[in-house]
Amino acid sequence: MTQKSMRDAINDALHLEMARNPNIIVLGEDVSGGAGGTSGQREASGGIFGVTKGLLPKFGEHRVIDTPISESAIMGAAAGAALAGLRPVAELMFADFVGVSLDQIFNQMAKFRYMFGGRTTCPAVVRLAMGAGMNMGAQHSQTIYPLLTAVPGLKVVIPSNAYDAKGLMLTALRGDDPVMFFEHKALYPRKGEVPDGDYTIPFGEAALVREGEHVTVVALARMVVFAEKAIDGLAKEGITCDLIDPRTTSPLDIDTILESVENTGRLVVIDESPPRCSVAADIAAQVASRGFRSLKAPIEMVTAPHSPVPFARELERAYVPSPQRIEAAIRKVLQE
Amino acid sequence: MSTDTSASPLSTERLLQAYRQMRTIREFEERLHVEIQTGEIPGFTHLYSGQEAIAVGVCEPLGPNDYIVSTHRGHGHCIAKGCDVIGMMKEIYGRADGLCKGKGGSMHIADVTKGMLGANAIVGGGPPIAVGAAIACRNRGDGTVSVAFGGDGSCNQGTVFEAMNLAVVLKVPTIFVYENNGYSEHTGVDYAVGSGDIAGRAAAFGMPAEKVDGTDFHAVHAAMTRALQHARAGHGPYAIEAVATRFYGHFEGDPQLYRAKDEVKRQRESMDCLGNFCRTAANYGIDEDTLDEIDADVLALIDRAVSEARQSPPPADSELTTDVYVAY
Amino acid sequence: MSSIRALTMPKWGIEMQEGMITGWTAAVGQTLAVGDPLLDVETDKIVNAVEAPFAGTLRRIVANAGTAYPVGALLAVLADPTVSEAEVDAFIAGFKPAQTSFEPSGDTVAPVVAVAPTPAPPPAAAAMPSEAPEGEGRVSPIARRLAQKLGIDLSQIKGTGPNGRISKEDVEKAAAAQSGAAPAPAPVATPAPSPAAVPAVLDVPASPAAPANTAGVYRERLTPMRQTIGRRLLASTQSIPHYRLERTVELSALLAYRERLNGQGRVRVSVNDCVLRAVALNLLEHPMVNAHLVGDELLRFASADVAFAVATPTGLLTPVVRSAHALSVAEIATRVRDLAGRARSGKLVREEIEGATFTVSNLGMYGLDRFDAIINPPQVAILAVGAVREAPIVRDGALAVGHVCTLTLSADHRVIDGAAGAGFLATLADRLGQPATL
Repeated sequence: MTQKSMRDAINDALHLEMARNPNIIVLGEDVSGGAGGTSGQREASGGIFGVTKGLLPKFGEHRVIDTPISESAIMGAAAGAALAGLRPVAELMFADFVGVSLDQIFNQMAKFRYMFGGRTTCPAVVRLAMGAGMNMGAQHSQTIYPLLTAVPGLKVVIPSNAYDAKGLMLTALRGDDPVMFFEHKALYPRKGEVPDGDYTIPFGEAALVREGEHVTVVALARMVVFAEKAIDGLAKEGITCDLIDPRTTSPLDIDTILESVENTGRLVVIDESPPRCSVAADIAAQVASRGFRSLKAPIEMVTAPHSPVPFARELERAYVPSPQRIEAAIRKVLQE
Repeated sequence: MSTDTSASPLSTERLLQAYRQMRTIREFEERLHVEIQTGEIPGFTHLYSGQEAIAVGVCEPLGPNDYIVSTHRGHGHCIAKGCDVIGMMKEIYGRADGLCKGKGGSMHIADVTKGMLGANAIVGGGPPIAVGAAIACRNRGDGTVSVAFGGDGSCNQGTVFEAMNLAVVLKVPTIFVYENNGYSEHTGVDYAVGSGDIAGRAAAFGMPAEKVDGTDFHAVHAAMTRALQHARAGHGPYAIEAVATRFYGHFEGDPQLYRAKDEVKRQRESMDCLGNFCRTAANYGIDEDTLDEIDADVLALIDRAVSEARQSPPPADSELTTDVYVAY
Repeated sequence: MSSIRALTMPKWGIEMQEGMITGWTAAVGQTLAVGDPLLDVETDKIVNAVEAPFAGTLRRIVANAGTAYPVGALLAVLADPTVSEAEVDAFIAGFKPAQTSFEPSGDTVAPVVAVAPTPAPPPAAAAMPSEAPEGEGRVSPIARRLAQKLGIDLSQIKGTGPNGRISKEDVEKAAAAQSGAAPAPAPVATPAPSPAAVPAVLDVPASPAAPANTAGVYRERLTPMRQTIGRRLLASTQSIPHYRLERTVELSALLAYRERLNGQGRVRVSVNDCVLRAVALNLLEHPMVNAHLVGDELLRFASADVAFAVATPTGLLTPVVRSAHALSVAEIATRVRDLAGRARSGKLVREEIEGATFTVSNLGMYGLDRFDAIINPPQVAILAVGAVREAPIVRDGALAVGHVCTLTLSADHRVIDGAAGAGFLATLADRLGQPATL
């Protein structure tokens, strides 16, 4: 067990599984970096966020593939390679780039198994770097996972910490369904205790990050960290919350959320996405429908506003749901 | 057209099998054209009649471990790659025992076990997938290849350019076959392809490319043989532009107002690949009687396919949510 | 292969839902080869021939001309002559039409499936050995907490949650069973609503009961063609600000010109053919009239594609003489004769009906002095031509007998203002008065 950053935890998982399974290949822009460069140095990047470091020297160019900037071709190649028996891990450098490759993800990868009558599998993993808070502007800061959670045939994984990230990645690499693995950029450097060995975390299993009696709080990715702050502050006043981190939005562990709401009767959902058709809206609707009689107060959703991500620091800070806004929502739901 | 009777590298047996494949595709599509009007076949179909020599010329030299990725006009490719004709007909009729259990239909017809990685309803959706399959071929190191079928329509899609470049950069064995049938939906190739030269475009991406008469089975086969030699040896991708025509519209029900009135009639006479094959068959030692026998055989098979399809049950409602995931 | 075959209403194009039979061209008892014409079916404004898709003898016709039938409906039966009438009867009685409608089935709405997606049952173990951890020993974190609190041994519980997971309810039940006390408060999972609870399919209110055929009232459904014509006329009158300008022209010179043409040529030319030619030339000089208004864009055309009205038994059609400006009067006459003939027999194709830039409607043969016509959008004007009639005129200051004809231009005021419309008629009158310019 060591203290590892989330980026290193994911890197761990890749190294481990690529050694175990020769069918795994990694492809993307600058996953290694330096191809065609003049310094003579290969692996000039190890991935723009360093998540794929060390893979090229260890596993070679046939398994660690730097690509030109052609997202459709990269995602399509991942789909095709998966049909042909490999287990590709394709990277979308920024989740926002899903736009230039969406067909291969939601019309091809997601639907092969169904359209072909269950007679094939497409075990592709797509890694996407997402999220705001680092002044990267509107086209490099979106969450995107609400769009893909809605697509039947895809699985959507959203770790909030290093430990979960490694276990979830190993599960993704061993499953036979296409997985969209969302990595929040602001969480890459965050450290946590991560075992050195092999372990997996199943999909569709929420984590109970904090336990309490008064309010059920559901949060994703970086919002888990902010929620922890808010909840720990409120605990000093004697207000305690169940903090649930679903970890995967497809499949979604709605049952854990419902069970918690049965106890508390109050729900706050936090999602860094804009409000319309967000995962917050989805969870709120499911709880309102199935857990209606447990609710003692209207459900509170804390989301980004219905706007693109702004650039200026102050504006972006106002955009991302903060621990203060989360605290306010928890208080509000207790007032009813 | 070659009159050198020793020219074909194929044995008589292979030539007859090729003819059988082409005839099967032709009769399959012609029969579908009739049956679609009964209203029993749901949705869109896109018929391949006129282009048979391309599908068969390209697929004949492929092995069971080579891959093809098709287009929305995929019945011909599917048959040429050895998929079950009756299963295909059932799939097009949307029956429970169709090739894809009735869940894909004409535009998503596939049999991955035969290396047919699917017809694709997204124009240009196939080539990137073919490049991915070729990465698998390259990594296996067994000389297998993938074929990306496309048309004069899809050759303008960005995804196709990306796929070609990626194949060249990674030096993987994808053979891009562009079936130039003169029309992309309702627009002619002279309008839509700016440079007027599809093979030239592929060459510009850095791969060898050639243009052949798509109504001449022997020419297509020869080009494919050259392409395979190149690709199997690990030299990277190759492109073939095969010029033919489609006798039917973009989809069944297309009134084809964009084609001069007697164009199809003329082309059925002057650009019929099956006619071309038959006319020179004697040069390869094949007589009419043999061909006629194959024709009768094929018609019986198609008849059986339609009859069985019509009697097959539709999928049960319980099948609606199965096969979405392996495990959820 | 069955020797009794059904001939059904064909599906032409993915959207077609029904067709109207305009007439049978084959008769019972006739032997047909593949491709022989059987009947004509009308959809929208086009009539198409249905050809025999297979060979056989036409044994029975079960559908009537003048009636519309859905795609897939049985229209006729073809069979060998050896097949008996009784067998044909049985075939007809047992026939089931293909279900081609896009509407949902008429059954009441099925119960709403639970909101969470139904997990696919895990495939047979042999299929794909998945290496992700399976359901054994899985517990919801809330259940685990509760078990700890209550001191329940989880390994003794069989899970009934998703994928066999142990749920809070499972733990509560186990605790109740253990202590023998009343079970914990019932879980509040909402059961799937019973069919009765789901609102029934909305009843579309039936149209007011129409009176049955009674003496003196004969009901006839409008043909698809009439309905289409009706819709377009209504749209035109409601959306285009029509105004009308009238001009009476003196045609003695034109009539003499026509006499000469007919004397020397093989083609018989009518006054209307001359008018069409004059109009075509006029349109090139008045480009605002040779135009289409589409939304707020005006499309002006380099070619004068002039439509002319033809009365047919089933309604008014307006076939198009393309590039009329480039055709001589004689050539126009030939085109008009051909198009009019085929219009009356219902054999026009779509490209001969669509795309006109201007229309000329001539009801002179009915003796009308003058009338005005309704514009065919997206065109922006239409010319109505009355009869050529003898009337008193003033020539060189004295009364004389002239041959006059009243032209009425209906124009779209959004595009053609009064002066422009008047200018068009003035030029036209000049042309018609100087037939050498035609």
